[in-house]
Amino acid sequence: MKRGRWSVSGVALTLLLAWLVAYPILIVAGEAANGAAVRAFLTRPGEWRALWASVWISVASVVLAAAAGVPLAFLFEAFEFPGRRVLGALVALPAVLPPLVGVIAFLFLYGESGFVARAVQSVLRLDHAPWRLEGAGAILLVHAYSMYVYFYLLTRAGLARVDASMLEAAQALGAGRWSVLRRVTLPLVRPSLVGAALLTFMTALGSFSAPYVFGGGFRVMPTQIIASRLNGNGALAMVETMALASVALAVLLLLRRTEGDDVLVALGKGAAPKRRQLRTPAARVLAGCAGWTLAVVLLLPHLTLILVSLVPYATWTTQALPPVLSVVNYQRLFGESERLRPLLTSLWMAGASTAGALVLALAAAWLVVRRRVATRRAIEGLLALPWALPGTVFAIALATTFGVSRPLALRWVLVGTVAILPLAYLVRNLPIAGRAVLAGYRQLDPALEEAAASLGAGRWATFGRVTLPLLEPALAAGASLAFVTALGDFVTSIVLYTYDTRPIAMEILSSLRLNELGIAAAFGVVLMVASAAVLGIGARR
Amino acid sequence: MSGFVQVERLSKRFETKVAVNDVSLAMARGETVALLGPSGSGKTTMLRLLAGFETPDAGRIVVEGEDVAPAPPARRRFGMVFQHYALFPHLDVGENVAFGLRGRGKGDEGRVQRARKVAEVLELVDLSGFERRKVQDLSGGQQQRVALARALAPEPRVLLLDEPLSNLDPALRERTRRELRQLITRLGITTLFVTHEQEEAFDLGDRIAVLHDGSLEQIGTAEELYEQPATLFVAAFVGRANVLRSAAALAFGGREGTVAVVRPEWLRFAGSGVPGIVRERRYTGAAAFFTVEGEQGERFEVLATPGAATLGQRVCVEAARVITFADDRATR
Repeated sequence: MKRGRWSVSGVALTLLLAWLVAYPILIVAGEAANGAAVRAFLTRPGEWRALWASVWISVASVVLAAAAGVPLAFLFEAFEFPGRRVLGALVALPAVLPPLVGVIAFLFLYGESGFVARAVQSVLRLDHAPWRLEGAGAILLVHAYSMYVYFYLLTRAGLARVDASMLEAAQALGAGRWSVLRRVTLPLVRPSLVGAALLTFMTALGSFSAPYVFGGGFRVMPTQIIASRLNGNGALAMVETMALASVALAVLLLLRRTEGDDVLVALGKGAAPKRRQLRTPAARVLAGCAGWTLAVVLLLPHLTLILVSLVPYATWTTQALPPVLSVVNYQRLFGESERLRPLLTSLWMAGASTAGALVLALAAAWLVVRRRVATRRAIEGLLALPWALPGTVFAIALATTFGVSRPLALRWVLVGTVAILPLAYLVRNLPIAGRAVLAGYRQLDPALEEAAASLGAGRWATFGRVTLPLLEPALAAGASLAFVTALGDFVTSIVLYTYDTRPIAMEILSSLRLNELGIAAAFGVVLMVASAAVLGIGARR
Repeated sequence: MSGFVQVERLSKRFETKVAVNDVSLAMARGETVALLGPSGSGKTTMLRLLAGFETPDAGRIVVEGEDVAPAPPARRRFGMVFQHYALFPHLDVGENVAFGLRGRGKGDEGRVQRARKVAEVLELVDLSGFERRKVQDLSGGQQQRVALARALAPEPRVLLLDEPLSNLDPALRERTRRELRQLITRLGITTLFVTHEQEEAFDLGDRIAVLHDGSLEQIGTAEELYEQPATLFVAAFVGRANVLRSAAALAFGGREGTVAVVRPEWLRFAGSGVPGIVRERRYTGAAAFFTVEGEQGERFEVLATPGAATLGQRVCVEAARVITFADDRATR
């Protein structure tokens, strides 16, 4: 490994990132080293139950998400049937539901007084709802629905990169269809599968919305942490936070080790395998029907959300379907300044945090890829760290670090100010922006920048006329994902928001508590549409 | 002698490896010089030092009496054609060529001027009317010509070419080489280019600088390099050569402690001379290369008429000319 060069800008950025990302975690670790709190954590059975619940819920989420996502990916990559392209895109649509929005959509759809329960109740003429959507089962249902998309998208991408000539080579060597799948295809897509498993595990481990809304008495670590904090037991919350962080880092290290080389896939440069046409009319009709049924099932939460958003307050009581539909909720949402404010607040905070994360990511990518500074490993590690730690961990860490004023320790009171939420979103978005921009920068041929220089363009002119335009797809992808994540954030917001800077997710929650389901759903629809639009724009580049 | 471009004692090391070691060379205005050498010889580093993409550890690069070594690439006014062309994929052909023409007047007048210049250089490389084409849609040869046009548009003082023909298929390479030679001659631009192909260097270069392990071995015309190689490396690297040591060298008239270099066409079958057996015969049309194994097991190539000998035949070989060098292996 080559030694890098030491530069002032390289060291400055490393220190800035360390202050934003690593320092708050260290502060929490320091505060967690508290004898009484550690003893309380170790001796209370509820703590161990929550930790264990977090682990097994996450493992089960990975299994369920893989069971749904991987076969779907094979179906859409390997076969050609009517409607494949449209359906293939629809199947990824759970991704446009921010966590809390997905949860309330499930509540309206499958909850105790949701459409499905009401339908069953009226068909069977029951006096009670046939079930309660609560506990581990409910959490897993939401997780499987929202997280299979990771397996689906990553496996499809992996399959699309498999070189057809490798499969042909295996066939020429006498391997049958299953043998090819087991001995060639699966090993080749293994990096994608491991990546999806890691992503799903981390998301499930940090998942807060579903356990918060559906958990009831069933606690996972993130809800346990928030509960301790709300009960005023801050020291215990620190210990719990460190316990959760440790599990996340342990799993990350474990899975990283088994992650295969992407080199395997990069070896081949041939075309992707051809999709097999389904020939018999029966098979085509069957595939079409199954596909559209699936699409409807997957889109039911979106449709439910839209429908509920059209129900005015207190007009829907015992009927199976709402009797009155109107756009009054949207009129209130956009007409009343107190309702419009969270929307605008969320927009500007998401925008500011995305811009900040992109600027830091660009500086980091330039220093790491072009300047090859001595601290480039540290920069990359710090950029990626927030991804490995659940949102609750960062929320608690930032709340702790920036809740006191000790300028000499580089700590200022930001909690309770407008700055804290954008800062938290920015930290959480660093991995997304960093990965996109670094990947984009690495693919950029350095000769292009040299060509610009040899044609008389200075450093900034080269950056503006060559580097930025060529990075645009990477920037657009990173920015759209970061913006949508910040826009729909719930878990950091619930810890750090103030009434004046409350984001959409908090407004959805308070509407739910006031039983203003229509308003909550309308906010959800706005978030969903905004997310879909931004992601669509980002992908088009 | 003071040239238009004067490279003086240029050195550059990377980590532990010396890439360019104390190289000096001078180029006259309008001259074309080829940097020839095997991979890792430092020829690309030389070019990048001249272009300004690397900073030298020592030495000066003087152009028209001015040391440009401290100047960034943007201010050297050197045009460069990259090995893989480095055409900007987000710009079309015209925008690529116009890239270096910023600052030539603002507004409409500037735009008209730039467009005229773009059309002019595109015509030069025989791509008139290609302004609005996407660079991705061009063939390899066309991309090469756009890269050349882009480098020429700002009217650089020196043109630098990094393996300009290596990305073209063989059939196209010869034609492009001819066009490139005509263009450089017509413009009279001072040109330095890197190549590892001797034929290319011979054809395009007025003079050729042979680099080996970062050092300049010899600079001269093709004939000088071939007929009077200054070092054993040049003798062996340029053209085909039999490099003979010890007894074999003595047999062809070398002295003790020397290496004898004999080109295949300097050898002929004769009634007397060094005895050996014909082991291989490679027919090339007008002539054939015969590999002869001598009595100590040494092998050498003889160029002769196709019918001069047959496989397995015992022959005697005579040398019309031998060049000898001190044997650096023996002295080490």
